Amino acid sequence: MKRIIFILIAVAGVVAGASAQDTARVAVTITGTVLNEQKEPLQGVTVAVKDQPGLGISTNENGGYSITANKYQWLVFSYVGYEQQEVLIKDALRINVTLKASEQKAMDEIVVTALGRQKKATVTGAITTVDLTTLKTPTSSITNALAGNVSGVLAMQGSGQPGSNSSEFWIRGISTFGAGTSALVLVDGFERSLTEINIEDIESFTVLKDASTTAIYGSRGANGVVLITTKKGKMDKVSINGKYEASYNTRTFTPQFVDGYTYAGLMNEARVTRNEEAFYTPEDLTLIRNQLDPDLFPDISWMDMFLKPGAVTQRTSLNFDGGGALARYFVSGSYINEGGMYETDENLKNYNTNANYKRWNYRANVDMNLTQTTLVRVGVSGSLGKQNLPGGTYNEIWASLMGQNPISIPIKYSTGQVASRGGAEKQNPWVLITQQGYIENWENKIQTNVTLEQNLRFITPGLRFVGRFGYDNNNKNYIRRMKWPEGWIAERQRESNGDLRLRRTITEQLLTQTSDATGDRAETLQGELHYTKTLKSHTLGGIVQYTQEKKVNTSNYGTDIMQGIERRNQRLAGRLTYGYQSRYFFDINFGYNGSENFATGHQFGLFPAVSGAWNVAEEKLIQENLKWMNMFKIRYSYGRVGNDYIGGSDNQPIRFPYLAEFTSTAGGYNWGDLESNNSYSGLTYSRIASNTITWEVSTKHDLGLDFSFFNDQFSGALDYFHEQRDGIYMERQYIPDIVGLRGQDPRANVGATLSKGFDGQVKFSQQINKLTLTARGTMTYSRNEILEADEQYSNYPYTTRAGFRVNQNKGLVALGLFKDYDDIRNSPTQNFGRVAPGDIKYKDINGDGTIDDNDIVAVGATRYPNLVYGFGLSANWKGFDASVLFQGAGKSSFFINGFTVYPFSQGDWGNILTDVVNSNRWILGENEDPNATYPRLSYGGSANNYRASSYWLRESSYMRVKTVDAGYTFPKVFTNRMGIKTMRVYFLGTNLFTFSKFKMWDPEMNSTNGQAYPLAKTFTLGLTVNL
Amino acid sequence: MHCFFVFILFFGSFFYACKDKDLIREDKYDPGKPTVFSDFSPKKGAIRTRLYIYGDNFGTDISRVHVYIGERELKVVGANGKQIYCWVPGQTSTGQVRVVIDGDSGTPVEHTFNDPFTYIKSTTVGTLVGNVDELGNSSIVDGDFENARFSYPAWVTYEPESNVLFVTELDRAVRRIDLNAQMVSTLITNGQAAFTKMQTTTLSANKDTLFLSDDNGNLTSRTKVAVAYTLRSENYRRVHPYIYDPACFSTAPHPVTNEMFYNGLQGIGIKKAIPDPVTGELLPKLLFRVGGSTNQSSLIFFHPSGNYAYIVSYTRIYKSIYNWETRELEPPILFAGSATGGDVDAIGTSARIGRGYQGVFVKNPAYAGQADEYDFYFCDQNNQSIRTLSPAGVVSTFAGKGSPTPDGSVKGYIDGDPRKEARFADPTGIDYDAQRKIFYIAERDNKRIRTITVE
Repeated sequence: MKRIIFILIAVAGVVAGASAQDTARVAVTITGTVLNEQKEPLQGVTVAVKDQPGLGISTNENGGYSITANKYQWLVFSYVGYEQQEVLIKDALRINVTLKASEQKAMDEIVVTALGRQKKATVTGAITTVDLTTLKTPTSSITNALAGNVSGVLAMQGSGQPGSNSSEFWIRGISTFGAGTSALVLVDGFERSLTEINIEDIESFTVLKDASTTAIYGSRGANGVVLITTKKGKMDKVSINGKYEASYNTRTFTPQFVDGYTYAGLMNEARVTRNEEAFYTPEDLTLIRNQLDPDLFPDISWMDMFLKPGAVTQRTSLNFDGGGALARYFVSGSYINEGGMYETDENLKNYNTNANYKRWNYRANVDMNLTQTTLVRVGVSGSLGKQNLPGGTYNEIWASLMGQNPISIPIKYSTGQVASRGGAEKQNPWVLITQQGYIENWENKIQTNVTLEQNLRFITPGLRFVGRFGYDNNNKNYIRRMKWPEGWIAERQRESNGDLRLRRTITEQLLTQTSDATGDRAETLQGELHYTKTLKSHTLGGIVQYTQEKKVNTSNYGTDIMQGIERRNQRLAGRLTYGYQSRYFFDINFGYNGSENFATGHQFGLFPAVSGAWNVAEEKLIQENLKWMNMFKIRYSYGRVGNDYIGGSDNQPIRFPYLAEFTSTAGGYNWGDLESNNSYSGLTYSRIASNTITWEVSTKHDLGLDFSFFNDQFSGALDYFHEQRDGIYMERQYIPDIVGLRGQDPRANVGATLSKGFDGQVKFSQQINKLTLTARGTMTYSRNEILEADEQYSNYPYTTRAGFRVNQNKGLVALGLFKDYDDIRNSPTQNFGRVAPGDIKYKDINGDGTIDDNDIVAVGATRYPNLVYGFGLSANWKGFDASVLFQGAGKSSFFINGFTVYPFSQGDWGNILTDVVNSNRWILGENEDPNATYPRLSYGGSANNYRASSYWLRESSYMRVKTVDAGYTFPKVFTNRMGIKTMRVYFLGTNLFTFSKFKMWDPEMNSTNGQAYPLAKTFTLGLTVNL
Repeated sequence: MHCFFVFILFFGSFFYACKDKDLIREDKYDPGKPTVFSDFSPKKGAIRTRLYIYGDNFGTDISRVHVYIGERELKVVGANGKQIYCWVPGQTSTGQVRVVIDGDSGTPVEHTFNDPFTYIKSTTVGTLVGNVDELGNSSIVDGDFENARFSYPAWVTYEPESNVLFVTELDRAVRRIDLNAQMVSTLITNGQAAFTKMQTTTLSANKDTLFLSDDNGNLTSRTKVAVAYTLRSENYRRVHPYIYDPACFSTAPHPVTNEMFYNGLQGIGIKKAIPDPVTGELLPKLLFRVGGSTNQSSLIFFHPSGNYAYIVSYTRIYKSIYNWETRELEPPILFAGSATGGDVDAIGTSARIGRGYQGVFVKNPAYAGQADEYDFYFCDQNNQSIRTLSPAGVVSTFAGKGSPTPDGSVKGYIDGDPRKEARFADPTGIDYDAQRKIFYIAERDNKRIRTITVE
């Protein structure tokens, strides 16, 4: 806070000082009109006196203006979509200006790379620059907008729970089975989280994918890098942007469960078909159907009862920026409130048990020119996120909602007792959601950074120094206040007088509490020297960067001294660039990193990368003959990137593995006699030193093409990549005992993976009269393979990890269901318990006549998608705009399991999905189809049927209408009268339709049993106002 | 700024449109329409019969609905507008079915069906006495049947002359249940008369002497009383020592000769009390060991004819013939069950028993004229059931294990039809009132005395 005040005072001082200087001069009033090239008057053009931000005005409907200024000051005319013009005030008091429509060419496009801004045409590495207008999400996290929008990124959203609904994403897929697969995210040059960032604060969003662009990050760049820069103030009069949107969230898929009568019928079937007694008598079934016994046969649809049809999310943001030549500012604040879908008890006035996430974000970026050559940037940003959750945990609630069958318990018995089958997930969902207290999580983040940019042209022209310091502070807090009433369950039979006979299943819990808090802090210090020189057609550039980082975390380490030590990193990085005539480009990048995790001699790693590009379109021959070709650049890069993250959690990583740890032995050695114990314990290894481990290295090749044709109407980029990860850290788990390591597995750089694939994006735009149409598409495909892993020899090569994908699904191969007993007799023996016709028949892979674990092979792909694509269309016509984005994912599959899909596998615990009833199910004497979707029912689980096998493997590929939006920008004539520059109302729909073969729950959701907070389908109305 | 305001208003209405669902069912009774009573079913039934009334516009609020058979009010369980579901309790007699539905205005709708409901008496499992607190705990509490409690009832002996039950709370006490006065009292507890661990009780052949056996904890020395007795003539109040011996688990006075047979722990020794020719003091005589070197408790039950006794020891039932010549029991043969436990109804050694405990011989009218007219009813503690052993050696399940829970548990506390509905929890004591045809069952876990009876 002190910092902000200080900055504000500093800004105010600078502004005041600036105006005091100018009052001595002669004031004149300037009038004039502003026209466009078609000689039409432009309304709303900002006319300002340079360096005096407060003095700006707008032109009227005739394009006229009148402003007071001093002679020999500059007037600045600026308007969105036009190039800015500056005019010096001399003697003339009438200044008419014609503004030229701005035109951005692909050649001139600026992109942000690791070491600063660069013309896109000169880039030799593989990067994706994200068009921020295409990132649309009504949720609190920008990560949910990445899939299908950003080439090179594979993303997946696992849950829809407010505050926990961000997507996991990987750049070019998962390329290691070792620790750490996530990308490095840098905001304004500092490692920060992407989840909390406010989308309106982002100025640029870049994904660095290949070795040449990430080599300078050395130790951290192996999984790709996301670079974000936040907005800065512009030298202009103050501009205020406000946005408000409200969303109604429903669910893309809600798992559907059978009603009580169907459930009871299925349960009887499951028992009778296995020669067990039916559980419900015909009379019971009649009672269930007629709903005559609300205590013993309640028939409750738990999902409908405790999930609202939808919830509301509200989001609002406000930012303003402006400034003059000496100082510029950008200040923003935003607020989001994501509502939860649980049906909670509104009568609880004192506290709320619904899931809910609120977040307040703020950011202040101030740039100050201290001298002609010195620029200081100060940025302060932060967020406060508050998550509220019901007292039952996420897993308990979803297991309970789907585990309670419709007739097991009512909510309350007619005698007033609360019904419950026990604690945790066996608890009544009503108790878990409304009666069990609530959980509060909140996370504060404060990020501060100062950047100093010093132009060293007094030493030599083209030399520049940039120094950065960042200090980030996070703390996370958790408090759970919990209680529950005593729970009862009714015996199946009433007492002889008809009363219920209740048995207590759980005693009352009085108010209790658990809490936790963790905090961490990160400091980064960075210095850079930039040098650029242009000699005729030759452009030379060089950058040297030194970085040191430290991070410390206090996550209840207690007496663990090792974890309490700050984690430090040091690196020296550099780049040399050479360009000839905007045709040939050649870069050398390197990172020289030190890591605390390796022993002396293994600590430092050099990660070089070379890259080159040839812009064919700039060749004379092409320029003359193929005029439509604006850019055609072929790129290639090769390099090595390292990783020193060995494993452990983010808060408690494995540290200093080159050091051994000792512990005293239990019991010890008895130096005395049998009768007189005189034991002394000695020391023994609790960790063997792995003193030769060193960097895990990823060798990356990237062949790419950037193109832009027909006056930039058709543009795009395509990349093929080939990455090999070597020296992946693994525990050596198959060292023979005779080596004498006492069960302590050392670590070594033994694993290797290869990942290949392509990503690309294309864009086509066409102007038809006043209608602008843009079509775009992206695709990312990655396929990896484990080359080597620490594993023991197997006679059956297909049982090893090597040769298959990372996280490859493995299971038995199902050949359908057994037709009859003859079929069972004539098939290989299945050693998973008794089988009957209608049970799953497996393939004997190794031909040894029995089905066992040696018959488990790779089936399907991986749970995480290996292919993500998106394509969309947008149109603009006058004030109207509309766009649609389709997004899909493929090459992914998963095994479904658990009590929701294996009917009655846990007895009467587990509700039955309607899919079981509606699909082709094997029924004794009725439908003995060997290709049925569900095998013969069984009560209490069938060890044979409920194994991971291709029978239960499901394709999770999908395609969905990810976003649809339509907006209308009010005519300027109308809005200017209210003093508003632009005003737009819009509708945004997300996940409106999903097409997938898998229909039980959302195929994107990372769940094998559907027990998760469903993903949201949202309808949003919003308004943006720009003053 | 107005736009914001309008916008917020618009969305405000949005929030309030989604209202909370009501968890309570509303009454669907329509006072504007007549209530129709068309029929009821079934027309006859026993205790625990589910009776349905059919018609229209009954409403769903069961607190307004009253159903009677004759003057007996039934428990109304549910109503869905077109059906009323109610429950026939015990002690009902055949009568007209009458339905009363209270109206808002205070004038109830009433209907009496023409057909009567015929009440049938049936065999059911019921509860005689005992209860537990909400935590399932209990202790030794004397008093009337409403309040009395048991802590660990394991054995029951019915004394027909005074219509009294003696219940042994294993290792704790012997209780007396006066069935006429419906009162429970404590006859004797540990510590009184040097009792340490009371095991079982039996009555002499003429039913006037109650023998009490005590696992006195001794293994070899004859320093403590193993069997004591009390007399009806003294209202069972005074305890007299019968024989000094190491631990005794059960006594079996011969039903004809009144000789005392009893058992000890070591090697499952079966003993007979023989008077010293000089002093008249009773001395033990070891007849044989049942289990070889096994140290295990056993229980002895004499057939009413005195021709043989069953020796029940865990998973096995032995048969020992009484030798009228030597007036001793002969070494037994394994008659039913086997060394391995289980729950299988079958004949002889193919049958499997969990843990056999107290048993009682009950005359079976179907055997009239045969050499042996009695079935042996015994408790199988681990299998939560009451089982029978026929003279031919067939073991079958008589009561318990009804209406299992969805996870297959058959232990519990449920009354009703002996096989279809009733459940027991560790039943170990059983005796039979042959005159009134009532079984009395003591359950350790339910801490109750249950009955199996035809109303």
